[in-house]
Amino acid sequence: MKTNPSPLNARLPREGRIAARLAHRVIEGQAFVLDPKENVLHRLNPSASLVWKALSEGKTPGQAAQSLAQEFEVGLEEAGRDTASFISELRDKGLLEDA
Amino acid sequence: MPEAGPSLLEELHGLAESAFVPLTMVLELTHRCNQDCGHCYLPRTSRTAGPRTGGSSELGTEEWLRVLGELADAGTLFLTFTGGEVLLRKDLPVILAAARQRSFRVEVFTNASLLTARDADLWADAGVAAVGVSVYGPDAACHDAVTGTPGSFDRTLSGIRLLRKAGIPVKFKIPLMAGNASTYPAILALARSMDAAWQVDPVLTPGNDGSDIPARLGLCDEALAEAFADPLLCPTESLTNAVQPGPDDPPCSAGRTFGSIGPCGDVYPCLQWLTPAGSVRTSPFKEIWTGSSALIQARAIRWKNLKPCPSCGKTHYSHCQGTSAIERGDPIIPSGASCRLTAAVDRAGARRGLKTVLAASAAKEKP
Repeated sequence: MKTNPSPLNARLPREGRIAARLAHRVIEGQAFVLDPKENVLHRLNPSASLVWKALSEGKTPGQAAQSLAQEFEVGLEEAGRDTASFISELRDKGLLEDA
Repeated sequence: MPEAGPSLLEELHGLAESAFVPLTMVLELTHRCNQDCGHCYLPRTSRTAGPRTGGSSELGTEEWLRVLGELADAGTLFLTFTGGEVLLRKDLPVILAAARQRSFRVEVFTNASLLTARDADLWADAGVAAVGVSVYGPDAACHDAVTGTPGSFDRTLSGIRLLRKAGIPVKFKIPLMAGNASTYPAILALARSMDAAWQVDPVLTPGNDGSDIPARLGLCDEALAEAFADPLLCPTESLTNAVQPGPDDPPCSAGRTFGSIGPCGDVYPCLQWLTPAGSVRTSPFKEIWTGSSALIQARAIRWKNLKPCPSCGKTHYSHCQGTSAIERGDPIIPSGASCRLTAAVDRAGARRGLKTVLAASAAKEKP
């Protein structure tokens, strides 16, 4: 299988798996994430919502960054940085878990 | 960038409302039940029948799994599984596991009397967020008299203990009736002793077949007012902070962000509003939700369309379109049940020296 030689893949984690305990939907472009254990509802901003939607569809962080670049008309480098930052923040909040 | 906060729930509902996303769906997996409660809104014939209801069969496992996928695609986030008694569905663990895979927030309503330790563990593994359990009395004599099922109190309490042991939050669902009204303080104490939440409902629902269950088994007007006069059951803010709807506001979320699906696949605006919009057995859910003329008509109803109550001449902010449809045959004619409820709450408010805002003198005069 060919790998993308872009530096994007070096920066981004290979996987971003949404924590199984979460209930979530993307409604009108906005992701709402409910943590039933903590009873806390989160709303993600539009770009983070796009990344979330991609991850929820089983796409890799790299593919999520590509969607972000396309949708928000930014360069792949910037989209990669933003995606890495979102994923790190989501992981810190326990919304993503290790594979 | 996640944001968090309680007002987000209102925003989520607002967003869903603007796009008619069926954010919350109640799925009746079966009408069959192992108990025989006199106050149940389901006709006894459907509770005691086999998996066939009214000449058509309950949706099978594969059909429910398909429906869960369709609901997720339509934007549903909050799911409640109810019955009848859901534990009579042997495929319940499969359905709950599929709901988790589809990332719903799941709640289950049950009498818990058939629940095993294995069920409780499976429900916990499936991420069930909360379980509502019907409790009708603080002891076997009171509870079993309502269920018509000897031994049901002990079995229900055993089920609740298993759920709590598995770490699943439990809420006692306590309908008040003439037969158990005086016992609710003891039932609440029991709930607290089991680390369970509780919800008391002083109003019974008319039968789906039109039978007047509230008149037969419910609280009399005086007892109803007494119940609402108790701040424990009816907090002050729920009486005084009621938001007065505007003429162009919808009466409720039924058919807008809320809906239900019956055991045989019929889609309704609400569990109580039984105007069928289509069947998921023959059509995709989204096609029914967006295209059904029954739902489109339901969504067009506004406060200004409601008729004055035939009894008191007012419109009630507790107006229930489903109850009206059952009782009056028309969702816009206020029901006797909502009239009694409004009067009782007004009396209770007066006793507590509170100004309630539950009725308007005429539809046209509403703010």
